[in-house]
Amino acid sequence: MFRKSLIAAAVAASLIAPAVPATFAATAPSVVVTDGWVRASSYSDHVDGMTGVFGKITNKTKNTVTLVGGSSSLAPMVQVHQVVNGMMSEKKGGIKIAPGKSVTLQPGGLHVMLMGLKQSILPGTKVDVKLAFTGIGKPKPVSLSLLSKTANAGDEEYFSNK
Amino acid sequence: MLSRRQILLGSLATAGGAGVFAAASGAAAAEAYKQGFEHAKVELETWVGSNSAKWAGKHQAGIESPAQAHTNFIAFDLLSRVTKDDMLRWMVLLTDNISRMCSGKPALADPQPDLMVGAANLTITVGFGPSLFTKLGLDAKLPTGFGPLPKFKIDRLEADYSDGDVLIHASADDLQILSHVTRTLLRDSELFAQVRWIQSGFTNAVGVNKAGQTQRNLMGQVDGTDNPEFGSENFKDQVWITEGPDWIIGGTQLVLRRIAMNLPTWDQMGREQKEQVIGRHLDTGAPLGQKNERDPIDFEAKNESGLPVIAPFAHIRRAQNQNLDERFFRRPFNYQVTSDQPGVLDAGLLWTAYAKSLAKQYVPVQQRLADFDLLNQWTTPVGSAVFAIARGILPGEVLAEELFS
Repeated sequence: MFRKSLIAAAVAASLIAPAVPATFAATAPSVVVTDGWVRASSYSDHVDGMTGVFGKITNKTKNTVTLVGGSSSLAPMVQVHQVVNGMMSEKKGGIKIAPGKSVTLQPGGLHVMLMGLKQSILPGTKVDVKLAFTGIGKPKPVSLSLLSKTANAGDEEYFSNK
Repeated sequence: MLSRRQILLGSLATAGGAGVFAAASGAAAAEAYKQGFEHAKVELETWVGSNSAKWAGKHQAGIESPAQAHTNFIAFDLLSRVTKDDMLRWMVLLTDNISRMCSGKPALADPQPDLMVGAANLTITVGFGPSLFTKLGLDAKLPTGFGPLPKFKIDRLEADYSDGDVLIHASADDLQILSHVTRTLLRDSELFAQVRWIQSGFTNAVGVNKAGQTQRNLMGQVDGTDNPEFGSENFKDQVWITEGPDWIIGGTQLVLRRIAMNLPTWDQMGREQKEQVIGRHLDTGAPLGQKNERDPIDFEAKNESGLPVIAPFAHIRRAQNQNLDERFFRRPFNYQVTSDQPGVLDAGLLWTAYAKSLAKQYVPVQQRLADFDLLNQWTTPVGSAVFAIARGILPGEVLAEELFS
């Protein structure tokens, strides 16, 4: 279970205090992600594994924005997914968020998938994720450093993919 | 007739609704007043839940502050093959949990975030037992005066209440919040360690005692009269470590002793006999022959028969420090659980002492009490554990990082 971990990176990256949201732009208004995390599980503890990214996204701009995907140094493929009737599938067209509204990515619901992991993700490490939005003028990804944690809720998303 | 509470609410509503006089219209002023009233009402109704203790600072929370109503001491043993690297990942998870939950927010990935309705003064304190230093080859980072305690002849220690590699000590003024916090802490720890024991305790609920009032243990005695005051130089001198490895500067050493009380036989004693055993009046907590709890103890005083007012066997005589080094801070909780025998309660004290050096400050006193203290007839130490408590953290820092780097 305990492989060489990413702890150096985890500790070097300063912890984001809960009250301090990560934003993609220094200038408000913007899209803000709070309480983001990445799931660490038996699906993500090996190379070529996969995992989900969760958190609350708030659109503070005056336009509708759409989460269309993203990137991570740990995963070549990043997709926006949904769970419908316990079955997980890619959410074509992304997730639209109206001005001033929030969407919560959570296990068993909407989430971002990191697929084809280049290395294992162990709990307590930091994972870099950039979320890509359209509808906010010049597309600029929201860069996040998210803590990975174990969680058992919403496991159907993994089983349905087999 | 208006109750005091209603009057208070009314004045808060006025104060809260600063818009009352600034509002453009009478209708707006009425609305602002009503909203202010509602807001003040909710704040009053939820004040225990919304209390939060400061978790960031030079020292970990949960020591230099009044004991909360409920506590869980949780000891873990590391899983085999856990490395210092793994420990750091665990500490990152705990640090994140502390920063969120002690602010009254759910932990990340909490499957039941709705249960985290507030902090209720939650504190989470983390420490490490001597066995952890051995397992991870960290002997060079042991604090001075810290190690397994000598064996005392009064001890009847059980493994289920003793020792442990890691301690997470969580306390809150609400048991339901504490239970959820405990569950969260266990979930985020299960990949690193297994629970060795959990010892739960309690004190009076919020709003029962006057501020600063010394607690009573289940024998009815005030317990902790001689404690140093919070924020005092004495407290600093007795508790917070100033020398040694980085990770412990601003930390302390904890000894937790589970003291089982034989309450049925204690209850059979007369009140005066009980006072003789302790050396204090039960009601006021004053030393025998004195009026107030904090009156100085006169160990030389004799009664009309020429016998010492404070008996040679009295607990306070035996526990009295013989020099300035033998002082420490106590923060005890009571416990009461069912026992194997039907109808018989297992009750006692989760006695704690915090000191810069347990060897120097605590062990000599405990040795004296073990040698001779009449109170030993009704009390039995059944659990004992020591933990070195890491220094406090600021936002952005990781708990005990210097220990495991």
